Amino acid sequence: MASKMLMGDMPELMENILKHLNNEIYSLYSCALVNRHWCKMSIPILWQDPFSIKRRSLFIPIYFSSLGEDEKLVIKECLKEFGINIEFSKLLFDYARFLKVLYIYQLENEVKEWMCLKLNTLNLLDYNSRKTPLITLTFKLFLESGAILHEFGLYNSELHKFKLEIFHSLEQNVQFYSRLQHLSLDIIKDFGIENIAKLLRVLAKNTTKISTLRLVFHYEYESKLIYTLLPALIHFIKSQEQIRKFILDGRDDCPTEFYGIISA
Amino acid sequence: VKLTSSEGTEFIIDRKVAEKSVLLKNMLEDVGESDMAIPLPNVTGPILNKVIDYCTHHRDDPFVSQEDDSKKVSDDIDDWDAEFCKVDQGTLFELILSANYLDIKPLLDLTCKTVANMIKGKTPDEIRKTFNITNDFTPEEEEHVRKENEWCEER
Repeated sequence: MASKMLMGDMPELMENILKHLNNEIYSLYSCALVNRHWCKMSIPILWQDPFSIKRRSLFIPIYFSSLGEDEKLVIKECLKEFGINIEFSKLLFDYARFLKVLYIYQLENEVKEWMCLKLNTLNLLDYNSRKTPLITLTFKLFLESGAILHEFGLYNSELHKFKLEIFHSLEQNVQFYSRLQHLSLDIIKDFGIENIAKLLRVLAKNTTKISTLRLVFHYEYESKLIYTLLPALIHFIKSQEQIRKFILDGRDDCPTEFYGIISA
Repeated sequence: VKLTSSEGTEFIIDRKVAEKSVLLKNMLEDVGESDMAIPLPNVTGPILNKVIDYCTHHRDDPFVSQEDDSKKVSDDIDDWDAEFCKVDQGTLFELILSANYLDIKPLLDLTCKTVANMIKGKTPDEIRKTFNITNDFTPEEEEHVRKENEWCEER
């Protein structure tokens, strides 16, 4: 007889066992195929951070299949323009809600990689100009699926063109970032800086548990937009009670304004 | 401190050893010094004996606070602990239950890690054989799970 612990009794103990396999994708995948109960226990761990795993990007269409009907249509149209015909399938799990780690650049990379896999060649210019709905809709899916992130990284990207709709969704889905522990922001250009300031204000209101904050500034400082960002940033830092690690990175000629960040 | 196992066997241990268990620590703090034995109806004698061995060996370890779950790795077990876990599966699972009940986090982690190591690198069928588990998937279901998680397979 197998231990009852492995058959459904005390699922929290089985979860504790499986959590030790966190980085062992192959083993977790095996667990998912053992039986129904094991599947239910291991899938959430398997899907915490698929973006960091060096495997094929075949989970991208699974996320697309999790979208609402209207959004699926948008995705289908968008992919059709690239010459990809996607068939959506009915899924066993609501995979998006298991996500715990999200770096937007990884999401973009994996979408790109999946498209390359489908097409063999992908015109990058074409991709960059038309990828927005693919990225924003997937991001919105994570936001609205009930996912609770531990780690989030944003850099200047499509998402910086945040639409009002996304902000509305961010304000509606506080759980998404309420338990955020690691936040990483890359600020490359002036472009979208007002949105980052706005994002920081939303975060400051709803999350206080961030322990690692990484900020990278890449852009030219003659810009006055830093003054847009700075007050929001300082307010945000002050709202965090548990910051233990703070990484500030950028060019050498740090302007004096940055002392404001450090003193915060 | 006096403890009695489920069969009524009495064990006498140092307070410091007993305090490795958060459950006992809190009890002792609430009750204060007392000659009364603490009954542990969920723990059998042989298992309690093992647990005491563990707590005695680790009596001077600093108390570790709740760690970040994402940092869990399964390969840093020292020799004494590895030797301690060389028991049959039944005992190992009993130890997990007791560590959970008595709230001894390092012992719970060690025993769970040991089971995780038994799973590591195995195929689904090997896992079923190791733990004597029946496959209740229909072939269609199994194929469906496989399809949706295909990305986990090696490139």
